[in-house]
Amino acid sequence: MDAQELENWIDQYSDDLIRWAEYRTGDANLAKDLVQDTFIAAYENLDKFKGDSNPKTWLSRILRNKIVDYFRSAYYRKNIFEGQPSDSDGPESQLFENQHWKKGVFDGAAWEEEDQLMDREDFKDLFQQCLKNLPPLWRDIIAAKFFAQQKGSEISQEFEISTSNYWQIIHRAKLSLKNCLEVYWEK
Amino acid sequence: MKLLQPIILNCAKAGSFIQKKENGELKAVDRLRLQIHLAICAFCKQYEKQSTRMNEFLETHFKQGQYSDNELFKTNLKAQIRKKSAE
Repeated sequence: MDAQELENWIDQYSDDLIRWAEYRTGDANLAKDLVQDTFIAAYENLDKFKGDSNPKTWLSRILRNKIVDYFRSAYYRKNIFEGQPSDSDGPESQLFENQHWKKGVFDGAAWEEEDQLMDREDFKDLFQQCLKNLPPLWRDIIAAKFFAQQKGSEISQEFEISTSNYWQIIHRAKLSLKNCLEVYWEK
Repeated sequence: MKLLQPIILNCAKAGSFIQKKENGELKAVDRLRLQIHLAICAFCKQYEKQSTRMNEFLETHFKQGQYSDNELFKTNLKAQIRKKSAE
């Protein structure tokens, strides 16, 4: 195992690792920084790598820890709590009244009946925009669920939230997306 | 009415139950509570459909990610590693 081997890994795996980190963090530059740290850590710990395991799995594990560290860092926590809607201004307040759906919430659902929406560039752009507008914590959790396909129990552990809070966040994120599509998508 | 309290579900809570159900993680007793709620609440019934549709969007979205050009990144990183190994 030497530096040459590591260079091969950089060629083979960094695209996938960057893509994954980008989804997890929603930030392309940060993703590259984390992947860079991952390869440097891998280089420094090459003797701990066992040749019989898959290098991609090993690298993914290092990257995963870097991402977890980032999510737990004071910097990230400060930002998510600032960017997080409180109960009074979250999606519920736009869609619910006394824990019931507000009148007319389902009237504007143009996106609901149309087929093949995700084949349309204009819809994809809007959807991406709506996702970007979610509070960072929600977006990260959605990405962990739908991109990294992690289990709910894993995600709640990683983000240090309760499982009921996890389901609540998935629900609230979907409500926000629904609201966003209904405001901006027209028939 | 008080006896019914454990069965009755409000829409806000039903939404979270729907998420659990989609993932097969809703307990039997809660499944029943949700079923009763959906039988009488057309809005939540519709939200359930929308929630499924939203899953399709999210799955497609996360599958379609594009590879950005990382060649410069790779070259720089290799140079950095080479510098380290020369140290």
